[in-house]
This record gives sequence, structure tokens and C-alpha cells, in this order.
Amino acid sequence: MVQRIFEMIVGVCASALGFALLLSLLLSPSIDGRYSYFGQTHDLSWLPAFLAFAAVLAAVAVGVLLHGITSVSRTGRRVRVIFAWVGRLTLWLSTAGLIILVYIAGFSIGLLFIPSALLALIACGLALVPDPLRNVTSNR
Amino acid sequence: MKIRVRLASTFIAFLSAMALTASLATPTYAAPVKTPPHITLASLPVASPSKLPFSIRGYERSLPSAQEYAPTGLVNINQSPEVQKLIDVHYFVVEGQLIGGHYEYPLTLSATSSGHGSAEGQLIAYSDADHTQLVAIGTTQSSPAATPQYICRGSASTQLHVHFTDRIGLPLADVYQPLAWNYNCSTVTSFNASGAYEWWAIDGWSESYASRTSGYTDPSHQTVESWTDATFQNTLFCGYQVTIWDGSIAYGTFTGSKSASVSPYFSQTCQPLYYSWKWDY
Repeated sequence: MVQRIFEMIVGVCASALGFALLLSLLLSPSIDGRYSYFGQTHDLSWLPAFLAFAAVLAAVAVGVLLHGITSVSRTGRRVRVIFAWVGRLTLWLSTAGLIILVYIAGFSIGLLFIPSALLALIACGLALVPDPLRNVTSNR
Repeated sequence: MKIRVRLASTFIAFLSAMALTASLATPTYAAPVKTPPHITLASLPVASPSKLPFSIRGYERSLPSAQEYAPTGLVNINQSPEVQKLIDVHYFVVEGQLIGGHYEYPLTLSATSSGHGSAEGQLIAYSDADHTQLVAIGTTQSSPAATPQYICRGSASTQLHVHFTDRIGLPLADVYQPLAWNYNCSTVTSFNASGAYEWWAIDGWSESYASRTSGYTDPSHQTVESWTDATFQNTLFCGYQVTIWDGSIAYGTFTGSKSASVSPYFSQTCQPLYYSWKWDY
């Protein structure tokens, strides 16, 4: 239970940190006190990259919450197992996506998301630890 | 024991998935041609049959379609969504010129004094193996037909903007080259050249100490130019120094005609870089 809560905190922090960074790049002025990083291009060429980062960060949060909820929910075992695996897969795939984005945007904004990616990787590692339900099942 | 085996197999599956996705994202230098998933040379529009309202010098050959560009070695293809937005697009292959140990790809554009409009160029693809670039040049707005005429007195202005991006179109550095001048029958009487450059320091880019910008006329005041020599460096991402250089120049003459010279350059990198430029004339 404690591991799941820790996993959720770390995963949500990864996502929140990334979103805070994205919003800062979108809104906070960087050039002459007028333009933000994304705002200075005067067109929407930045939008696909912005949406890609937003999508993987959101997926990290969704994955970690979905996985964490399984340890506190009172639904049937089968539903919990399905939720746990969907959560794990979402978390792992979105973390892989975030790492790829960090790499391909490495010359522009990618490296700024390394802390988020590291936190998401820690959450991925914690998601590998089997939950108490499975322990009980295995011991039987 | 069972749990440990499951844990290990899950971890191995996760690592395999990560390795697979990473290998898909990393350029494979053994492959002869890299074709990114969504924009390929074949997916770009064919060249427009209409003539561009300005002249271009410095290219090796023009192509009827981007697909005809078939260099040897790895081809880096620009994935920016801006690539497909040009009107009256024309494709040019520019051959690199070895200058000071590196290859530059200069192009010169010229318009008459009566021609006005906006031209845009984009680096579509390049090959470091045979030192060629495929550049798409087109217009972004219609310009009136240029009728040759000689205007003896007046003022003119032009601006060149070179924009460097990473492989997904996010900005890295910009160089602006505005030039305004007054002229009469025989000389340029006055001018204002206020070039500027900027770069994004957020991911390790820094300006080289040698960057400078200036404007001047020749001794007989026949021509005026605004030029920039800007160098930006990044040693953080690739683990070695990557350099972006721009030496663009905007020219004007005593007849009011305009031209621009672009020769953006970047050194070998671990991730492809691209540039585009816009010339208002």
C-alpha cells in the first residue's frame, strides 16, 4: 500500500513537473519580456510538439493513478488485475514516449524534461513491485 | 520464487519494449536511406510550373519533385509541419562548398526594384555523405508581376529572417536582417541596417564571442548591405560541440533593387537540425 502511494506521488509529480514546465514555456515571457518560448514563432508550428509532450505527461499521470487505484479499490479481483495491467502498460509506454521526446527535442526543450522522465522511470520501477493482493494469491 | 520469476520476466519485457522504441527513434547509420514515418519526400507536392517572381543563383540543379532528390548515404528529412505550407513551391539541390574546413550551402536571391513580395525557403532534406541539401523555395503571398522600370529616386526596404529549428520544428536560433535605404539615380544616399540575432539558452545554446552584425555601403555608394556573422554553440546535448552559423546578407542598390544571400550552416550533430528563411522584398 505504501509502495503504491509512493508510486502515485512520484508519477503525479513527474506529470505535474512536466506540465508546469510546458505552461512556463507557453506563458512566461523570455524574449524582451514579451514573447514566451512557444509564443515567439507567431504560428502554430510548435503545437504538435507541445501536444506530444502534453499527451505523454498526461498518460504518465493516468497510468500511475490507474495502477495505484487497484490497491485501494474494493472491486472484484479480475477488474483490479485488468486495471493494474492497463495502468502499468500506460505508465511504461508513456514513460518510453517521454524519453523519446526528451531525445528528439534534445536541442530545444528536451533536456528540460529529464527530471520528469527520471521521476516517471522511478514510478515505472515501483510499478514492477507486486501488490499485496498478488502476494496473498501466490501464497495460497 | 514464482513472484520473482514473474518480476524478472516483466522487467525484461519492459526493457525490451524500451530498447525497441529507442532503436526506432535513433538514426540507424547502417541503413542507406532513412524515411521518417509521416513526411517522406514522395509525400511532398510536386514543383509548381509557374515561374518564381525573383531569381535564384547558387544551386546545382532544380527538381520537378522532392522525390527526385536521391543522394548517397543517410538522408535527414525535415518533419516540421511548416514544410508543406509553401505556395508555388520549387525544389533546388544545393551543393556544399568547402570553406574553412566545413561545408556551406550559399544561395542568392534577387528581385527588381518594382518587385515586391515575400519568399520563403526551407531545408527539406540533406545528406552529409555527399554534401548536398534539398531546399524548397516558394512564396507565402502573391506578389504583383514585376515590370522592369528604372526609378531614379526613392526609398526601399527588405528583410531577411533565418530561423534554425530542431527535428520537430522547435526554435533554436534566429537571425534578422532588416535593411532600409534611400537612393537616387547614381548613389545610395542613406541607409539603416539594424541586424539582430537571438538564441535559446534553455537547452545549452550559447553565443560565440565572434558574433557580430553591421551594415555598410561600398566606397562609391552603389550598394548597401546589412550582414550578420552569428555563431551559436551547444556542447550539452550531443556531448561534443555542435555549431550553428549564419552569415546572411541583405543587399540594396542605388536603383532600388534588392537581393539576399543566405548560407546557413551547422556542424555534424547527433540529431538532425534544419533551417528556414523568409525574405521580404
